Amino acid sequence: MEDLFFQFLSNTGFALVDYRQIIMLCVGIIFIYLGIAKHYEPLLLVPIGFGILMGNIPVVHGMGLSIYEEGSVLSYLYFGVTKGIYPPLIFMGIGAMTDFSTMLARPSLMLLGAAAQAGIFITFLGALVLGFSPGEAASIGIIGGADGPTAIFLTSKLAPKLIGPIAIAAYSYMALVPVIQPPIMKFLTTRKERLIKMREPRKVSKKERIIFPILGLILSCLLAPAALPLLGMLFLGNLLKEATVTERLAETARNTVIDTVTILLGITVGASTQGDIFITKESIGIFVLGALSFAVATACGLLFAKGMNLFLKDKINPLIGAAGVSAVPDSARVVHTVAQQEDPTNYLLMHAMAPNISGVIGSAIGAGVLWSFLS
Amino acid sequence: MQIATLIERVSAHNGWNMALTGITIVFGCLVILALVISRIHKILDLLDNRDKIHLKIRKFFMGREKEKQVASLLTPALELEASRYRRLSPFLGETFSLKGLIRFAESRGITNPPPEKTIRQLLEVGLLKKDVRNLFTWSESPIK
Repeated sequence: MEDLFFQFLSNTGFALVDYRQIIMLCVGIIFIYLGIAKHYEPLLLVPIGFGILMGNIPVVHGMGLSIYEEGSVLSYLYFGVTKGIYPPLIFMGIGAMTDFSTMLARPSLMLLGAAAQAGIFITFLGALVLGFSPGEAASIGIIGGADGPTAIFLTSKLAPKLIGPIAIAAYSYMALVPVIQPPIMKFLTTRKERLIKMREPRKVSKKERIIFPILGLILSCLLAPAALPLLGMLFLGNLLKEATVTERLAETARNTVIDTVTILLGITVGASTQGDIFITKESIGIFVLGALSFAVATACGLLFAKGMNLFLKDKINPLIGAAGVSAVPDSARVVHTVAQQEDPTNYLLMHAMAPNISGVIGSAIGAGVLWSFLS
Repeated sequence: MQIATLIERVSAHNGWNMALTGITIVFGCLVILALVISRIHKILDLLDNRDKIHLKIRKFFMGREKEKQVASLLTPALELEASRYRRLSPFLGETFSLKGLIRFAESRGITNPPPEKTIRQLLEVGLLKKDVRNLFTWSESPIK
């Protein structure tokens, strides 16, 4: 009986715990705190934070409990991440939620979304310099797209062993958009520029909104076929929304599907960050490069907007360039908030949505391009 | 030396080319998409107003056809006749009736070719124009 008791004790988490797991348990608690108390992307940070707690409870290997053990429940749920199933489903939900009208009203603002993607490729170079393999470097670079599902999708294809740190970095930076972007925005723009008011966008007809997802899919996927899984689902979701006759499907895509997938994705990505696997020099490098990528992407969008103003009669507020990183709709909201701090009557939210949405398309194309180069 | 090694790491994996090509493709793709979607509403406008446009095109081609006909009718002989009749306008005023023009032409001895025939031809080529009061006036150019 004594032996049994000691055997039980040696199998408890208290006996098996490692300092790295304790660090990760603290990280998980911080995520949950940021989500609930600070409202930083709570829909993402709470499931991820809880997943980190689940993944870092020490368990005896061989009992089929860990996410990395074949046959465990978590490993089955994780299948959707490793095989790139969840990201396209999330894209469908995003498509069913998003109104592309502002982008259709002023397509020139799409260039800002394109410019911000330079951050992906600059960081890709930086990661190569630091000695990461091309697949890993591409997966790290895509963090600059500020698009969690895209980062997970590309990493699952090119560097599956880095999914945990890359997903955590991507979602952390997405959640920290209100903290990371404003200083860069203020540093790279003058007060006069931040005060620029933009004219109202024209009204976009229903026909236009229905034609766009069809045309968008054909054009972008003919040019970059590797972006098909992500963009195909994004445009499908948007068509379901705009067609109105498929309102029931759109409703399911933007509520039930995206919520279910977000929970599964959050929990499994969080659980994949087991201390012994997650806390490495590589992970720290990924976090540093990820932050750099995000900052460079923001700066590229801002500077491109300033460049556009040299040629435009009807000036644009360069702050909206920062929304070129995806992070829909958080970066657009941040742009709006920063503009309102200077002039409370300046409403930039609708204008910032155009580069924001084109950033989603741009980062998906960027991911597709990198995948096709390196697969 | 160290920088050269770092740059070599990128070159070894064809990194420069991949980055440059990648950003060019992303940019090009979004530029093309932007160009195409900026045309959607114009194409839709065209389709919505296709009856009006069809009418405009018809008018345009009919006008061209008429111009061609006029060009064939407006012979040098007719132009000479027109200048002879125009010289009568100081006596008739800016607007005049066709009867008055015929009578005045005959009184001035312009009878060959007969004034009725010449005036009909001048009306066909548009050198003579009818106004709202059913009177006639000279036009600067044929047809329009």
